[in-house]
Amino acid sequence: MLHTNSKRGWGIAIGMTAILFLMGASLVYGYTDTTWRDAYLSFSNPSGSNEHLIIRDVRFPRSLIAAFVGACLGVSGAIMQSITRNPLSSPSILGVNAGASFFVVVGVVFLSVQSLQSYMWLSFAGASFAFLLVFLLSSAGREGLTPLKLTLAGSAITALFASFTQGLLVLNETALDQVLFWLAGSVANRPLDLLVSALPYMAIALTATFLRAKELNVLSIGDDVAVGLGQRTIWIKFFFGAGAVILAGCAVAVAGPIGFVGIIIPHLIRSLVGLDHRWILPYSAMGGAALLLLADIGGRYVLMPQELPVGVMTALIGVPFFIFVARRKLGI
Amino acid sequence: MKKFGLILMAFMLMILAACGKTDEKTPTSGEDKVKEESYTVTHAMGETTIKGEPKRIVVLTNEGVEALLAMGVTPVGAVEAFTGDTWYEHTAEQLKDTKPVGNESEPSLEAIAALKPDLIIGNKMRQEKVYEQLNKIAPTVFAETLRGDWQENFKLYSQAINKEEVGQEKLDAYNNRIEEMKASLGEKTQQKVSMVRFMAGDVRIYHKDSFSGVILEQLGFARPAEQDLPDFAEKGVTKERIPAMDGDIMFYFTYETGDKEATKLEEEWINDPLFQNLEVAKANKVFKVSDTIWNTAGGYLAAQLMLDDLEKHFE
Amino acid sequence: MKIFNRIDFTRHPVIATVLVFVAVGTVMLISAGSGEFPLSPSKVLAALFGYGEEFDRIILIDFRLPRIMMALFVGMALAVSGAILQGITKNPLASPDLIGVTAGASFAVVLFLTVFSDENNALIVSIQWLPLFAFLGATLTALIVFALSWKNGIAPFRLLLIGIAVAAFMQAGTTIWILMGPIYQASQATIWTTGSIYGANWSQVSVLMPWALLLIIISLLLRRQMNILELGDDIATGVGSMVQRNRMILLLISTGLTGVAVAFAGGIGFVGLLAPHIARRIVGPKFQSMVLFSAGVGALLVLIADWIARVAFAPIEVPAGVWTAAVGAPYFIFLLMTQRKKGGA
Repeated sequence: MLHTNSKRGWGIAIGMTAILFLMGASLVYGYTDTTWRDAYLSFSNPSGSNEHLIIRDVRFPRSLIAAFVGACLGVSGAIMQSITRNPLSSPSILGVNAGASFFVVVGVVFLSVQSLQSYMWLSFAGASFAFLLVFLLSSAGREGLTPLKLTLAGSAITALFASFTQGLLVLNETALDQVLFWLAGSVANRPLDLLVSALPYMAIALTATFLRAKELNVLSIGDDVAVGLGQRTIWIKFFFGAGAVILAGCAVAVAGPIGFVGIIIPHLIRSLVGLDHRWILPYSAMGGAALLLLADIGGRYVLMPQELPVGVMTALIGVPFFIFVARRKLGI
Repeated sequence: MKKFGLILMAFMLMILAACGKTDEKTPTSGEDKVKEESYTVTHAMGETTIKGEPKRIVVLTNEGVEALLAMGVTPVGAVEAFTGDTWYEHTAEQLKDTKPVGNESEPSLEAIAALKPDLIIGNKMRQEKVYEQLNKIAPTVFAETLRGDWQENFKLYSQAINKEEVGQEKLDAYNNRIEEMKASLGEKTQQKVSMVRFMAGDVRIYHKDSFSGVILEQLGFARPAEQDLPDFAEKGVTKERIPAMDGDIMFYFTYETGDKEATKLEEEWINDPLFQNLEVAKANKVFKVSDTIWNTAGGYLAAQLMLDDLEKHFE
Repeated sequence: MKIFNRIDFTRHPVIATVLVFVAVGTVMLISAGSGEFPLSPSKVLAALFGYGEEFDRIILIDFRLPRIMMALFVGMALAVSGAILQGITKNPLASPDLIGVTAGASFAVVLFLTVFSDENNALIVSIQWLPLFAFLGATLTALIVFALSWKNGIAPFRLLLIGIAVAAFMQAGTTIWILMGPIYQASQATIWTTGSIYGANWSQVSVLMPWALLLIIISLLLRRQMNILELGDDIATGVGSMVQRNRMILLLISTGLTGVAVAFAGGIGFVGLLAPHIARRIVGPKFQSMVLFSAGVGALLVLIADWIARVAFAPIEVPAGVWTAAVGAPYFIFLLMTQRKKGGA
């Protein structure tokens, strides 16, 4: 447990070092044998050899994408858990990932969308649509937003969009592997341009939510208290909701739907740094990045020389965790 | 609550009435006709006896269509091609009077029945589920599986249409051509041939048990060590595996379904520095060939066209 | 819908049920009559009772009827299964395909296709065994879900959450096997997960029908227990019924129904979710009327979907699962939105 702010500050430094180390490992470990020295040389003194090209042009973009997408998913999950006051919220559980990927598929199949910018906007639109839908569906009824209703509404929406996506691709007679990609995201073979075009949105959403993270603390005490303290909860919810949706949308546009990062990380982080969102959010970003980097490296070794999409890896890790949370933390 | 019981009863009776009728309905397929010469074919689902010479044949795989066309028989019905407008370009002209009967995976039973065929040729891997139903329409012969080597199925098809001799002639003609080419290619077959396929969302490196892999092997071509494997292909490769694509000459093909995604992917990979780093790319020995001919169609005619391609490249 | 608003069917559930099954019968007749060879209703009836031309009889009795019957029972089974699950969990968003039953069956199917293939990709056992495998996959997964959510009994709450997680796990497993298996089997597996009635035959129907009917009848016999369970644990325990035991029995029935439906038809979605909703709106929450009515609605949905699958783009088949999702999902959203105004989701 990191109780004092100075300890938490040091934690950030250690965390960043760990992420840099994992990014390095992501450059070095994989099918092609390379060493840490190769990784260093490929940047300081590139020889144009295959090893150097693989490190620079294949693994480097991939490690960057994994780190940023993981950070987005971690923060998005932390925000969603806090504004819905539900320990099981996350972009994948709430159907936001599935909504975003469905919109992108529609764009590609029907509107022949090609530009990276339109990928981004489609993804945002899909993410927001799914989030609103789930929010509306689950806040209906007497008890309001219960974790169960939210999770169910989310998985209903996920199933809905997933079967749409699958149906569309079946109708379009496209290769099966494309279906797999849009149902389980991957960070391999993704052009760096995609990340570059998403980066401004990621940066804005991350900075904005970090800066106002304090308001999330008030929100998590409860609506009544927050109103009592003079907070306009609707606006706070809207602001952070938009942030979470943009982050999830960016993640999907770059890497397709990747589940369970947004649910595992905030839990671990809360038990590490406590309940202050000024710390939870940055720590979640680091945690998400680290988890996705690890999952991606792991996925290279399971079916060598084939790779397991990182979305499959996170599901395999995440499900036992989810079950643990559902059994223990909810006290049901 | 009695009312519900009654409804349920009535409903069940209705259903039973409908089912009860089925058992007697095995069709008698013209047993009393004048005795014609009949022949028996042994195939994946057992033995089938076919009377007379089948005139109206429906074929349920694309390689089967090519086999029949090669033997000079035009099917009355056939499954649609995987790409293109109903048929592949290289068979469209010959199939202009043939009726499409759906996809290989789920061909329409009614469309097949509508053609009143006297023989149906299908494939166990694709249509095992509906074999009995197809058999009610007409005698049905199934090949066991789909794989790189099309000759096995070709022989069965020639037996099924009782043209074993014509079939053997065609096979001999093909194999003679292979031998001639092999002779005239001589030393050139020592070049290691690499094969790569681009699809939307997937890139594959093709091994020996693929349609084009089998043909290359028959010609005696060498393959790069990492492609010299007895299986189908390495699927879902990442750019890290580009070095495995190296060879003395490369043929690649792109499965484009219409949304330009595959072509986009192809360009991205071809222009990747790792790809440009391949010896075969530096030597300017990378050639794009038709995906239909080299891979998707997978039949006799495509094999001949692929040999044409190879002749051009190794002249 | 207007006609349903005008007449209060909650007071006349029998009339409503008769009406919905009349609609089912009509759709069955229309579907039986349409296709590559349109048959007039009189020809359909003639062929049914053994008259008419032989060709008509083959088309109708060997091709169309098995599909129609399978669609009928698959629809009813999925709908009743959903009605039970929604009743037990007291949650309108619960459905058997969301809690891992279908995902487990998919996994078993992919496993079947890869494990029982030789090096030439040819199946070494008959494809007739595939439904059995799918059924085993479905029920085993359900048992895993039950076991994981057991903690002094099964709380419906925990059951749903853990079911959703297990479904995700099974999907990941399916993806791994598809990536590893040969490419030909991948396309077979995708069609299966989408859900299709194509190629139904009488031997399948003769297995499906008794199972489905038996389980539906048992669930109707348990209506008293079901109605008590729906009141909630406190009241239920007060009445003295063995809540846990009854819940377990009903869960097993629900699983069995979905299992047998997906075994033959694959992952046809949204029927188990949607049908009980529509039923509750029209005939009210009382279990027995609701179950029968939703059976009718489920049958209607799958019948229509398979009819479209067969006829719309003929001779190309577009799997029925695409249509249940395309029709069911937007309607589901609409349903929840309008129900919301009435204040009870």
